[in-house]
Formats: sequence, C-alpha cells, structure tokens
Amino acid sequence: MKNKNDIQKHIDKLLESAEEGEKITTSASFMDSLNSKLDALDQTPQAAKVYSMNVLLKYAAIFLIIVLNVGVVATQFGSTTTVEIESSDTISEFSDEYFPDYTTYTE
Amino acid sequence: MEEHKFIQKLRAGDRGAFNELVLAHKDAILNVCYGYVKNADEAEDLTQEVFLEVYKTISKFQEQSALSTWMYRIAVSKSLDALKHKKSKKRAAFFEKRTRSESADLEMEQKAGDSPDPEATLEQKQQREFIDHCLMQLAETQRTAFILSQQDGLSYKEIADVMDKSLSSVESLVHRSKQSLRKIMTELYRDYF
Repeated sequence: MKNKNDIQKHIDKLLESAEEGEKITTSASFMDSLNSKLDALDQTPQAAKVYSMNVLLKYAAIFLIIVLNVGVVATQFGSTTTVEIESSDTISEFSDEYFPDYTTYTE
Repeated sequence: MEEHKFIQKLRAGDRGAFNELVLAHKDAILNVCYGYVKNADEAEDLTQEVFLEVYKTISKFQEQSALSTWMYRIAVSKSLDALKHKKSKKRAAFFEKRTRSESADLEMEQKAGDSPDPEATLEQKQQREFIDHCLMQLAETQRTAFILSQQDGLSYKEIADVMDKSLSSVESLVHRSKQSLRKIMTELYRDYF
C-alpha cells in the first residue's frame, strides 16, 4: 500500500498527464470521407421554403384576433353614435309610468 | 482583412478554400472533440460533423469572432451534445454490459500481452482511464475551460470567445478546474490504484 507522499507524487504526475492530454490525428481516409459527404450535400436539391402548419396556424390566429378586435371596436363605435340619450324631458314625460304615485300603493 | 476574403471564398462555395480550411484545422478540432468523448472514431465522426456544419452555415457566420473560434465553438457544442446523448444511452446499456460475454475483455488482455511490455501498457491504460474518469467528473464549464486551455493550448482570450465569457471568468474557471481535478483525483485514487 502506498503512503500519502507517494500518492501525492503520483497524483501530480497524473495531473501533468491530464494537462498534456492525449493527442491524436485524423485517419488517412478523413479527407476522402469528408469530401464524399460534401459532394452528397452539394447534390442535394435545395428545398423550397414551405411554411409549416404551425406557422400558418399562428398567422391565422393573429388574423382572427385582429378581425375580432376590429369588429368589436366598430360595433362599439357604431352603437355610441346611433344610441340617442334620452333627455330629462322625455324621462319626466314617462315618470308617472315608471314611478307611479306613492299613494296608489298606500291607499 | 485576409480572413474576410477567405471567408468570402468559403461563402461562394469554393471547395479548394474549404479543403485548405479543413487541412489547417482538422487535427485541432479532432483533439477538442477527443478531449470530451475519449474515443478516436467518435471524435473523428464529430470532427466531420463540425466541418459539414461549417460548410452549411458559413453564410450565417457574422465574423464577430475569428473563424477558428467559431469552429471551436461548434466543436465544443457538438461534443457536449454527443456526451449528453451518450449518458442517456449509458443507462440502457448498463444491464447489457453486465450480461455480455467476457470475450472482449479477454481479447484486450491478449492484445496487451502481445505488446513488448504488457505490464507497462496495462498501467498506462489504467492511468488514462483514471484521468478520463476524473475529467468527466468536472463541471461542464470547468471541463471545457480545462480541455481548451490545457489540452488544446488555446489562449484565455480565445477560450473567452469560444465560451462567451469574460477573460477574468475564464482565468478563474481554469484555476478552479485544476483545483477540482486534483480533489477528484485524490478522492478516487484508491478505487483505481
């Protein structure tokens, strides 16, 4: 069994080895293999950009939201311009109907 | 300026320029990948993937860093992805490994026996396994800083660009990685030797 000093010395050596790392080089067939992959890549026809269903759905949702918002705003705008606010005279004209005399209930 | 012209050639699909790039950097990229995966064949496959990625995406390279730094970044990223993929596979392979025949181990021992000094070869192999195992225990950022600075000899500035960190944090990472590695080695030493 190694003593503490020996272990520390060995660890120092191992650390040095770790720092140096193990150097390797590419194999002889590396360039040929890479070039054939690049050739295959060059020959692949460029696909036209097709929007996925998800993108279409996003656009559809945004369009729908805009249409609904515009619709709501237009309705609000229309209703505020067409609704006539009844004047106090009109209200008082029918006040008896709305608020019958108190005595009719108490009699 | 020279590099800019070279990049323009690459963007134009100049295969001669691309081969020049590959020849100049293939071993450096290979050793970055090997620093992570510790398997020569796998590292070579990853190196090819790095160059294919460079070839495909050179038009998107914005030249905010050196071309080599960008390639190192791709190499680190691909290596880390490969390691993550490996980890998830490792669990599934665990039981298979336990039940496999011992013929492979026997073959390895026989191979070691054929070498001039089988004992020294085995010891070397054991030490390499120990170092690799300890390196794998480092935190991801510390491991990257250690591999790039110590094993691949990149400057702190280059590592800072690759890792997208400040110079001071890279200095600190490298320092801490060495400390951590020593601690891990001390803890695991008895399991190996």
